[in-house]
Amino acid sequence: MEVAKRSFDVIGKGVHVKDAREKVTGSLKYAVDMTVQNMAHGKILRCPHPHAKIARIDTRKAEELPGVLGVLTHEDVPQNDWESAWFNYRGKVLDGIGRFVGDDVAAVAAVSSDIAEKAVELIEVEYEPLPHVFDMELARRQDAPTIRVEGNERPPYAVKWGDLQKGEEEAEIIVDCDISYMSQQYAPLGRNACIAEWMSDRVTVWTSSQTPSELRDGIHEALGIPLSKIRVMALPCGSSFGQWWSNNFMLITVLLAKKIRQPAKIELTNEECMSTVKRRHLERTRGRMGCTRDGRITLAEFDHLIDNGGYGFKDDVGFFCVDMWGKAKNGNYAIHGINTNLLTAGCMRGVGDCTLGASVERVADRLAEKVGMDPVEFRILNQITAGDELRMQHSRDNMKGNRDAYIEGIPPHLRKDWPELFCLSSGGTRAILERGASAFRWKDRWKGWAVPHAVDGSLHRGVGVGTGAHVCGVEFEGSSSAVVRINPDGSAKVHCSVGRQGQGSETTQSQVAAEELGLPFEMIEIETGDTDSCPWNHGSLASSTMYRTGWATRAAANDARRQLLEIASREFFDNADIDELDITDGEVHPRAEPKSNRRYSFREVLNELRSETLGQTSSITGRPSVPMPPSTTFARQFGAQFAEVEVDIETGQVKIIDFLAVQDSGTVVNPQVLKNQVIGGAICGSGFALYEHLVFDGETGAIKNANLLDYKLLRCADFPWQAEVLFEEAPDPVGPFGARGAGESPIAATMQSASGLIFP
Amino acid sequence: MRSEFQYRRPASIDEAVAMKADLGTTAMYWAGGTDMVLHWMRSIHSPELCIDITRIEGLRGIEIDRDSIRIGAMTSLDELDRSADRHCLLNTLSDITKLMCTPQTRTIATVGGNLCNASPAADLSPAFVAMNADAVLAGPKGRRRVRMEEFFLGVNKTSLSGGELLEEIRIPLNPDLKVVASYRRIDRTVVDIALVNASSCISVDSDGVINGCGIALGAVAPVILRVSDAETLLLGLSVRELGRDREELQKVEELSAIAAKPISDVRASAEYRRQMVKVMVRRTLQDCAIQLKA
Repeated sequence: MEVAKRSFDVIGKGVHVKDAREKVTGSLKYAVDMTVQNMAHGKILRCPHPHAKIARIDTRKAEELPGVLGVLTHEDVPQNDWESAWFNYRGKVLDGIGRFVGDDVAAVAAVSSDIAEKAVELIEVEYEPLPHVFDMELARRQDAPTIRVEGNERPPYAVKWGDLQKGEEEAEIIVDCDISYMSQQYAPLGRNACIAEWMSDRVTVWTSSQTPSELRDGIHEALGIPLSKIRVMALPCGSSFGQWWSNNFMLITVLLAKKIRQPAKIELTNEECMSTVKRRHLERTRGRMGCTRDGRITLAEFDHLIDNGGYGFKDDVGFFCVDMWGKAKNGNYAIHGINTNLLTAGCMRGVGDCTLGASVERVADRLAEKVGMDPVEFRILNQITAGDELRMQHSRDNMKGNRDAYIEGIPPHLRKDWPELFCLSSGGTRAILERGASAFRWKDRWKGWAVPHAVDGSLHRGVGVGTGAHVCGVEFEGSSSAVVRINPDGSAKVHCSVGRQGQGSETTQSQVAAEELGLPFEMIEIETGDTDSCPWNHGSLASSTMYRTGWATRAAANDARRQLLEIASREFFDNADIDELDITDGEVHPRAEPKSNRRYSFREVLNELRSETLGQTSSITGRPSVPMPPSTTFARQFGAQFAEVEVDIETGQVKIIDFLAVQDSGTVVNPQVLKNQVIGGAICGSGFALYEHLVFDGETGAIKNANLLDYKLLRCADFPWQAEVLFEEAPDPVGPFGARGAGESPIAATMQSASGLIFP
Repeated sequence: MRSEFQYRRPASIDEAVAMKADLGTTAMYWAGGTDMVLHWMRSIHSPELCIDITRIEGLRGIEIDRDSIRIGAMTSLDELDRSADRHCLLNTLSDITKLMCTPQTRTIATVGGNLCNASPAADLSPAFVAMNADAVLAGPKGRRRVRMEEFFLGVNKTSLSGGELLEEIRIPLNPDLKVVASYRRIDRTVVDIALVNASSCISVDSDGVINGCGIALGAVAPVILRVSDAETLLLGLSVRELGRDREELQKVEELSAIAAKPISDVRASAEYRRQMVKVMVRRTLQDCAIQLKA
């Protein structure tokens, strides 16, 4: 489907992020900065064993300490399972079993955090150690210790197409792989806290979260109270990358406050943030890929393991590198999630696509090497572009080839306006690879496989290329919604609970609303955290914010605009058809006469309504009226990246010297915000490729480097200042103004671009 | 910060050491505080008295005379950084400070504080050892000089005792010799501590013959190691030989690797560290040779 490019007033402009001033002056309030009156301070007792049952817990000494207000144990906790977004946690808030070192055991509330910390040490716990397992290969075995009642492993998420035997026969070269990945930590620079305050049977929760609605759902599940009695006021969380969704310490805070009948705050230390919440999975890819002498992939077969740690439940998961390399005629991918007695693992930026994706990229490069092809050309030949089939057929239930039944299940009146399902709606890697290769002077700089293009003593320089893909949000947990309210003074407010993780969604959502309403950007403000005023929203995850929430914000703005035009038509334009009216700079005027003097501001329109019809509200609320198409079945984002890397072959030290990213996220809503996203992803991906990894103790599984001294994040100065980002803007037929997702393909592409040229 | 403490600000060294001698280990000196505050917050130290020595006259500054370079213990890393053009050894020390912490922290962190923290991975320590420097300690009973390699006794342990304070570092100079030094380390990112480090200092006479040599290794033992047997091998060689593939150089690398007693930890394996000792020592000697040629 071709979508014509059009010119915009606000879309595509690099307006400053809305909270820039607050951030640089330090006035933006995060959860750690919040207090409420009469607030108690909580601390969590943590399990010292990798796997143990609490045989006896005695809290008397803790309770007797002056200043202690109460202790929460598993005996106080409703034994309901709750689930975080995308299976990042499934379990009870506390159930008397510790499943990793650092797991939550109990919590104390006191008048100060020092007293709470002392009291935690006074809780006497008799643990009954249970057999434990850290290695996911061992955890899959029949005789492995059982970590979860559901079993340590469930059936894999699998997709299979074509004829594998034929693919093998047609392959003239086959490359095998067995690649393991260490675990990356989100490593947020800011800490998190949670405050809960009960009033009668209603609770309000303040915490830094990317997923306010999912947190409200989680509290509902854990406590069994109606959603209407829960209000989440999500505060900015800063760089989060998937860490601050709904986390168990938030649920503990809610229950602790309920028990002591007083507001309570639990504030995590840096070490707790890094060793008790979650992390990226440990992963392992085994598989093979085959191609013909002229470089066409005939066979792609991969078996991928991810370790979920104690409470992760992620196995029903699709990774989108499968789609990107989907031109292979025959394929078979299986992804297995396995529980271990390590810290819970969950979705971190680019989940799967920067691990399985990097494995596929690495194998593909080896194939290209063997057939003597340039890696850029090999990708162009084997990766998809708009119109090509999507192989992953990702859905909540893993449809395993039942795509026709899926399509027939959708009411035809909805389906008729949608792009073709299970085909890529727009974009692809060809354009970004060609553009990048030219801008990076790839052909001049690439000297062949394992051949440095410059050598200075032990310093060898070479260039690498990588591609990455990811989804643009998912629809399986609910359809992200938004509300746009036009106020009587002519200003407007967007309500969409996407949280604020620092990537600029408050700004880009406002740009979408401003464009659709025809209102100046400065007249729009946004609420991103209050679940009482915002409709359900998936939050800022799965690269969905611009695509799926942006779609909802645009639809809501469109609905508000329609209502406004209807009033204007009735009151000022003799019941003219609203299509004959338009809005420019916040004023309604006849479409055919943009410079006409007959123009009425939003304020005039709304006040006209108020004065005439006494008692009627003078504000307008717009909301989406139809569901967004199931975009998992057609929308993807892509990144191609080129890096020049210097390796000291004597010491193994690696430096990134030069870097270029070309991003395909459809229409660019804000080039500054998107550039920041892409570079941020590239730094995070380079860090993962080169240095970042958690170190687990061999005996206990405890994390040994839960600090930023020994967990090495790349700093700005570790990344080339001249790094450049270019955009290819193939507009999407569904996304707002042609935009797609952006957050997660950049990190996926970096893995191979930064490390692919390094041969062992 | 967990412990409650008293705060005093003595006006002189004598007053400071008297205070410290009185209270012993429950009192601590406050210089830049950048390491100490971290220890304090993690309850590694819980002092009852904090003796702020930041305002004491004479503890700060760098002076050069015929026989030595004097660096006051309270000299900030930033001041040391800005002293590069005053002497060739200060140029080397200045380059080292650029690797340490961040610009903000360098404005308050002090040379003395860095040495007294006695981290085996500290960046300045091996350079001072290689340069044959002395630590001048002021105590209630007067002053004494300790050779830099004897100043460090273990992780966070120094030979300071009985109220003593590190007053200054003295680097000896010989006006008849030309002296250069180099420092190398293995790090991962721009803000890191050394996984392995080494420093060499070479003095040559007017004929270009090596007359003095110091080689020191960091992060491969609880203290900074001085590789005396390797140093001896280089004495009498012509500096022109340093850059070449000489048997002596290989021997120096091997002796250095033998001297190293590295452990495996979250930062690196013992095997990697031992291997890198060779590379670091070789590179520091090559650096010295290049500087002497220039």
